[in-house]
Amino acid sequence: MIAAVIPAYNESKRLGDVIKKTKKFVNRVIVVDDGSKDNTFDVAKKNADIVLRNVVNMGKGFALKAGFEEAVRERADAIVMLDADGQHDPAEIPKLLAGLKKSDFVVGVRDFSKMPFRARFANNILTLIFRVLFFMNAGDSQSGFRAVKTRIYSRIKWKSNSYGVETEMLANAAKKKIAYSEVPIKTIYHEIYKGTGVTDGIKILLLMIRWRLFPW
Amino acid sequence: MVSGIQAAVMIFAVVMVFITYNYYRRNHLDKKDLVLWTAAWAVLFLAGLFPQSISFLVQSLHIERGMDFFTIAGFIFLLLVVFYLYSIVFRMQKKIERIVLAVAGKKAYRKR
Repeated sequence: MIAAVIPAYNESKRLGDVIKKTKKFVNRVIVVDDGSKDNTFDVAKKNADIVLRNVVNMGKGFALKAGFEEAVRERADAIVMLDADGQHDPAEIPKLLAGLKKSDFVVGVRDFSKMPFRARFANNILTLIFRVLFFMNAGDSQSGFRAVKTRIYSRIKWKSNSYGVETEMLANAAKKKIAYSEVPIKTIYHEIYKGTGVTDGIKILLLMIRWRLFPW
Repeated sequence: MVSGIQAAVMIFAVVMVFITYNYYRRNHLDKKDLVLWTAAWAVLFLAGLFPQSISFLVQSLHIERGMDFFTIAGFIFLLLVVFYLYSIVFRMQKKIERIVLAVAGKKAYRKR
């Protein structure tokens, strides 16, 4: 059984479409409404199989954790995670799942050259530093479009409640030598971008150093 | 004769007593906190009024001046407070996480 976990915060406009498209490729769609102030919860309830609702905004990492725990309870064999804002094309889920045949953890890698300058710069820097610190040839340490075999979830489980989650998952996979692979995915950026900002980038950088120096 | 720095220490202590009492009145502190903090400000006030009263402590620690003693003691105290607050925030965060997860699980919508 394949489950998709979609953390969502104030994404009522795009979420419905993302869920409908995702449903075609997975058995269960789990949406975690992370304390949205708009009608994200209602949109999710109308379209998804399971909807969890955080009463306050806890951050992407926490919402993902809640969704993964739910997927484990649902006895999913594999979990796909993707963003609610339409940055990831659900039609590419089969590519990620195909990658799970040869590894336990698959990351969708975006084409950095098609990103806006700021995002390209930040992603290049963070990915480069990640490679140096964790000796892992990752193509895109910040990509949030991923597939994971449920049996390795406990080994890559993260503590980050915010945007550090993607990097921490990957860092844990590197440290635990999890079988890892990558597949190319589309690079989609909308006009209103709510993802990782400059401050988040600096925080992620500092967290990477912390995870390297103090791995416990 | 009370010097400028002594006066500043004493005024600070009096203001802090006033603030502490106001916090107690608004139920932001309990009686135990009120007594503890007022005692701390009283000690500071007395040390400002009679600086020679702490000279034995200053000399035994081989510190040149009373003010140096206050600076060092204040810095150590601040570190303690930061550590204490960090541990409180950490515990509160974990508690909030548990509550949010429990509520999310209870109120989850499941299409069957």
